[in-house]
Amino acid sequence: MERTLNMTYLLLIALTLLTAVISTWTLLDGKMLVLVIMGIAAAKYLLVAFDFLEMKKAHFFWKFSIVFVCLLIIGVVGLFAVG
Amino acid sequence: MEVIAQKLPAKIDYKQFNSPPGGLLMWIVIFLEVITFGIGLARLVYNARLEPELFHTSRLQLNASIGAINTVILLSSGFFLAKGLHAFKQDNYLTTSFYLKWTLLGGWLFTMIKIFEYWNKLDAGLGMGANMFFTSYWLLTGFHLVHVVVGMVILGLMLRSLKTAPEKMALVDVEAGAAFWHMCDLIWLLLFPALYLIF
Repeated sequence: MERTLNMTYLLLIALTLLTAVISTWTLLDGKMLVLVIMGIAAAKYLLVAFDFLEMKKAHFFWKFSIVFVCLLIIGVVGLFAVG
Repeated sequence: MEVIAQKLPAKIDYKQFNSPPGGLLMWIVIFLEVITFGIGLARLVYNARLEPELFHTSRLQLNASIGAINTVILLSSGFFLAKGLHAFKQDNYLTTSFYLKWTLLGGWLFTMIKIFEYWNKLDAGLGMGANMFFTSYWLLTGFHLVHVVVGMVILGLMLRSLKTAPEKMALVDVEAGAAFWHMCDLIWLLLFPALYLIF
């Protein structure tokens, strides 16, 4: 449990730093950049929900709902931004 | 008659539909809050399609480094709180108290940095009425900051209870307080890229 929390935290910090670095890249074109940034945001959201909020222990309904809401919001933001 | 202070059952069956970590009511609140902020973000990106140049130049006036630092601070405070909750489940109140203090420090730092950022924006004449982007920026980050402050009050009350009568604290209440704080994390993880990075 403790080890999983530590690993999740390190991963979250690494993904945040990666986002900061990627956002300054000129290698990716604008639309791809938005999709990558929002994809990383979705990964961080799910890591916090499942590990910090312990949704991994919850009933399937709650797991499904948190993933659905995350993908819905990230999807709408991502698609509008690149559309 | 002997009165024994009792904690609610330390073991909660989270697999039950009506007992997610933090409690059913808190999860209804979390979903409503996240969806509300999601609608706000949908409006932001819709408006960005109408005036892409305005949103791009406005976004460049935000300091993405400050946003990234605040993300790290909020994630760190969430991590400390998760560790604190783990300690609470093991009846280790001293460790719980220690981690709660670090969590509160994270919330306080986040708030101070946000106030610094707001001060700079107002100083540059970028208030809520500056343009469509900044209207969304102030509404979304302002409401989020209100949630962070409310979360700090909840954590402060938890800390006080930990000092006075920790054995009387129910696990589900502590989990609900922690869930509210993590909700602030979740919302910020959506706001940060949408406001500071993608336009």
